[in-house]
Amino acid sequence: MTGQSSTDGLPVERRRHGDQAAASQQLAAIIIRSQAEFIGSTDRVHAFATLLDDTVRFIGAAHGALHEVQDAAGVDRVEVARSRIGDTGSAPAHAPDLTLPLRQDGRDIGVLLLWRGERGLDAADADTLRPIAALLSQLLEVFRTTRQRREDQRSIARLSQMAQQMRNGMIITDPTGRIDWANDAFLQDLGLEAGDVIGRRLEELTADWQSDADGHAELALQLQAGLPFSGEYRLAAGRRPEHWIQAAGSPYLNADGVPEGLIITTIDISERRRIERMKDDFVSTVSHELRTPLTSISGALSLLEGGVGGELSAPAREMLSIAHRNSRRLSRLIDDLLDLDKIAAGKLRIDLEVRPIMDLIDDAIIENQVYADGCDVRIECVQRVGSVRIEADPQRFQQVLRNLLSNAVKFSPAGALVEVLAQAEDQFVTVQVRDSGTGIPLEFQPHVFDRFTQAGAAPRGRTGTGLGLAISKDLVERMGGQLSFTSREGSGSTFSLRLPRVRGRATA
Amino acid sequence: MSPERILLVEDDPDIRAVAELALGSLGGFIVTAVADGPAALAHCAMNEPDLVVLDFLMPGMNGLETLAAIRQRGTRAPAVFVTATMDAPSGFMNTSELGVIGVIGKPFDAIGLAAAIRRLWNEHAVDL
Repeated sequence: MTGQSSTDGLPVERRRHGDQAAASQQLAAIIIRSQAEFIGSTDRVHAFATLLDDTVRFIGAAHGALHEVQDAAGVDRVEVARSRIGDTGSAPAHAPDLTLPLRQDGRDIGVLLLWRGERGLDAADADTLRPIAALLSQLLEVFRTTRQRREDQRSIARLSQMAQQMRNGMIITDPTGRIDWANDAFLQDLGLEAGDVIGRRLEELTADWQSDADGHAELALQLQAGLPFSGEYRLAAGRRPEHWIQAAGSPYLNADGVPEGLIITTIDISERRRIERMKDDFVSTVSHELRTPLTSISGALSLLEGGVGGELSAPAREMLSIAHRNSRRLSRLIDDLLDLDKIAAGKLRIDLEVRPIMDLIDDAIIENQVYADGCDVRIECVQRVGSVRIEADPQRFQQVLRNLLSNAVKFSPAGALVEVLAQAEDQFVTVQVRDSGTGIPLEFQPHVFDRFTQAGAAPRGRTGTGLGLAISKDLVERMGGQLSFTSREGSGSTFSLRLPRVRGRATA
Repeated sequence: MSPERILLVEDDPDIRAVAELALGSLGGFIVTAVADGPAALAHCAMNEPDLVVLDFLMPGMNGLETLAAIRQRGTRAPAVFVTATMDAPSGFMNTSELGVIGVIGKPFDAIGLAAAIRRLWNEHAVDL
């Protein structure tokens, strides 16, 4: 069955003229596929074989290409419509003479509608045409699966090309953990050849992957269990001395949801790590370098204030105290920057000890007394809890409480009182620092614990680094506690510091 | 017993001057201030201080190396480190066999320096 021959054996050109002469013999057919986009119909009378062939082409052809198909096939009139079974809106105007279902493997795949001019079609014609309909069904199905396969192949080719050419590295293992496939970026990144990698076990390949936290331990466990993982790893046997990659692995599942292996993607982050290390080194070098001159400046100022240079005039004392206060501020800024850097790098140490909470509170109040006096603000512990103990890093706890107290003082009007309240519950101890100051504007409240943020209301000369609360929150959380606040603009703020209470007998 | 003679090892001349004043005429100690490890060794060869106060980060011999060296030569006086890197203390607080009784961070409170050192002495030196 070919498109260029016909049952009467006439060449295409001759046939066309013959068709016009035999108008009364017209047979028209339309195939409607369930889910089809295309329906072809023709008034060709002579060559049903040609009709079938053409129709199959129509169904496979793109919409815009249909006219070319029509010309090539030598078909006089082709109508194309988008339709579904039962939607006859685009079919020829009169009802079909014969309707034959097209079925394949027990499924309806379409319907063949037939017209034949004046004579019409009868039951005998139907018997003749039924095998043709069956053949047509098979052809449609073959065509559909062929097209599907071609599309599948095309999308597979596209995907694999993408995976091959993308800049991130990628490897795929089989269910037993052997590497099936690796893309160019992965091989280039690790300075390997495909031959070094394909067929090797994943554990061999990742044996030299070291993470910051625990070396290789966690990755090995994850791989063993076939679990997803992600992290940053240094390649001990990498191409470069400090070769870092970021890697993430996740199982890929087959159609039944069963894991078939791991897909691992990698990105070379050596450059980022190098810059981060430079930054870390820079921050710690600079802060050390700053602390050295600051030590002699603040030392000299404090000795002068202490009277080693003899009695000073009142203006001289005031100038000295400004200089001294600001050298302390500079020192706190350096401390904060270093803390922040350590927090970011995960290097901040917390040394937990069991301490009576009131001792820590009283010390923090005493430490802030000078500052509070300077602002004409009183700090008072109005609610105490006796000998309740907490487990905390005393230095860090002090740092947090100092920060809360100095903030409360800073935002309080002259003559105001900052209240400290301690309260013990079964599992926790809460320390509240309550001021009657300006309060925190509603729109600023979500950013209270962000870095380098400060509500603009601090009086002149009482500014801070904008780092204190960000650091405090992190410190409290590392000690197993929580830091929160409530505030109303115009009527003050209350910061609550909650830490785990220690039960049982006091130990030395 | 309370310490009288302090050996101060500090490479920064300004900090050395401030600390010498804070511990000396203000703090009531007899202070010998030197700039580096070798000078500290030379001093200890002839004298027996009651307490050694050392900067931790110094060019050449650092504070820890200096302390180890004077210990080797028989100086038993307790030591206090002064440091601008507060990461370091955990590292050398474990070196109690070197007789370190405390660490003071920079910038230190110059007025309270002598008192801080007496406090460390009273708390820890008896253990040694």
